[in-house]
Amino acid sequence: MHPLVRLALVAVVSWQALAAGRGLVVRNGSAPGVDFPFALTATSDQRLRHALGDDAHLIEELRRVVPPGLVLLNQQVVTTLDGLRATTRSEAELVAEFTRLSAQNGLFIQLTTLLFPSPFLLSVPAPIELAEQEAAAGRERWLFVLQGNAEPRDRAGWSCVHRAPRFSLWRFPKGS
Amino acid sequence: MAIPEGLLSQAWVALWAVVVPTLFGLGVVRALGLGAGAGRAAAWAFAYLIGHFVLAHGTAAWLWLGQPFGGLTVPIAGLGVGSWLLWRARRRGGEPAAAGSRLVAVVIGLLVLLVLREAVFTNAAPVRYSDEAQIWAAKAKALYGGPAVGLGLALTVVEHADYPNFNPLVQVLAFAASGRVLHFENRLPLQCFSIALLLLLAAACRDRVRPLVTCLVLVACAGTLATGQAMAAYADVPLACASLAMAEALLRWRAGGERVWWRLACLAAAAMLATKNEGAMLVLALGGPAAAWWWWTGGPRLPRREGAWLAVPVSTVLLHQLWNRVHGLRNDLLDPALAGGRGLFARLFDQAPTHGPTVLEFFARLAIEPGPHRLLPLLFVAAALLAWIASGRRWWREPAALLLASVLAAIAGYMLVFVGTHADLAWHLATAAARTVEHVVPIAALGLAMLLGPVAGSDRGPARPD
Repeated sequence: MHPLVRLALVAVVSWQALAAGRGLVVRNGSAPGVDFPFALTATSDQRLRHALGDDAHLIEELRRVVPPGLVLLNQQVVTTLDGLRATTRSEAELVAEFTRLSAQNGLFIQLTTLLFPSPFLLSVPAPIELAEQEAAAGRERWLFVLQGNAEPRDRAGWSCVHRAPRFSLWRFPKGS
Repeated sequence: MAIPEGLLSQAWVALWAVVVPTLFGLGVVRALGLGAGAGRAAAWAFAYLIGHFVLAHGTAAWLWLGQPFGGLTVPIAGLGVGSWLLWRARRRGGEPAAAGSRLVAVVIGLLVLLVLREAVFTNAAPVRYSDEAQIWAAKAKALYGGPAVGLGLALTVVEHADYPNFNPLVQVLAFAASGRVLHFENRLPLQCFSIALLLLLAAACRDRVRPLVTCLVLVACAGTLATGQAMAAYADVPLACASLAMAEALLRWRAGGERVWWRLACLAAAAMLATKNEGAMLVLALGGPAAAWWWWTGGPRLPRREGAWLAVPVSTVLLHQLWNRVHGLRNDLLDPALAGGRGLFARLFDQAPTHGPTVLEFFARLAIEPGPHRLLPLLFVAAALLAWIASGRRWWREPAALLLASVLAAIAGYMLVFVGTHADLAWHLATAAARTVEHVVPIAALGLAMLLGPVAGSDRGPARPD
């Protein structure tokens, strides 16, 4: 390879190395607003609260009130864009509903991820019916209902075991 | 003054899931025959990769037996075995330690500090989104905590539960050592693969590339494989690390004929296969051109007994298939039943006219986008073409030619996979294409460094048979 060509290529690599080096030095990690002492020493709960904000309280409360090892069933976000279009009247309403459901889906994923292994939050398309079937088979599951979602208050056998501002927990005992 | 809980927790994981696997791996690679002459960077880098890979089998056995002993059993056993192997290797003595460039050592030291700082910042946030949470950490949690709710039920919340188990088992080691499921520190052992990768690149450049060029490619590589997304608990950096390890081991074996490099190449190939399904394609992309290059240029003859090391990658594939079969898991890309009745190859042919141009255009744009790869693959291809034009046919006997063939084969393979995708093409390309290129960045970086700053007399010809 001609030395000048080699030099030109080395110059391009140097430029890229400079850009990469600058990115490495000035980068503030992938958690904006976090300083190094906090990132190094904060407890898991402190980090959770910092990252999740108010959603961290959901996790803390669920850990506190749900008996260990219990499976919590939850209404999965199940929809399509066409389905949303059919139930909304304007583009603005569609965007708002899509954003709400997307945020709810993200919250459920985080709850499942961060609560594991106990309580085990399982999002399914029909949680009320599944909980009743499971109870009939001798397996008690509780129902997690995020505020605004359907509660089984009109169905026989169900009782609310915990109510908090953002969610409620329902129980359908074994053998009901 | 009490040590803060967060610091203690990270230090604990660093000890048992980073330091101990490295010491164990160091014992293993020394026992395999890697002498001090290979250099410290090569020893530490291979130790980290091979240590984790071998120890993951211990973790898997511990899980399979129902976690009969405390979670520290596996790393303590690893520490014991590794120390014993190191002691035996020290008693045997051997070649003097190879001296490396001081400039490269300083740059590596600075990069390691920056990577650790980046890791600490990243770990301030929990593993909660995307593939790192829904595929890799979710599977680790299912394997470790699954027995509490039933493994089958726990696997239902894992996206792509059929994916290979190396990454989850690395995280399980951190869980087991801590005695609980972690949501932050479990990234740490995976993040340290970035350090292993940089050490490996430095080791591969040693005695082949001038120190200044080595430093440039190291920093450029660190800009993509040691920051941002690379700090998440994905399996891409471990795969990139294992791929570079296989390439480096094959080149060293061809150059010197020492059997240890063949053994390390087989172990690295197995680690690739155990890391991601793409690992199988990358093993072929490296192994195929290497075999052809050997045949053409004449490499060292493999003693018959050493062929048995091929059983390591083969058994890795078989074990993974068995695990998936036992748990009823199937791959959506390959299984026609999960993708509208057509397999990957059928889709590939059917969709070539519609998807092909889009994929080509996307990869062309990706090639000139510096962020994901710092232009290293493009520069490597350009430099290789120019070197070929300047040197003619004999250039294909150079080690960089093998790396070029592997990089091109890997990228072509990935493009074909995207052509045959069953997912929405735009979404699939946007979410995965840049990460697939990461897998070949270190190999491209090594090839580029060899072309831009070659050291006279570095491994050009094949070794004599061992």
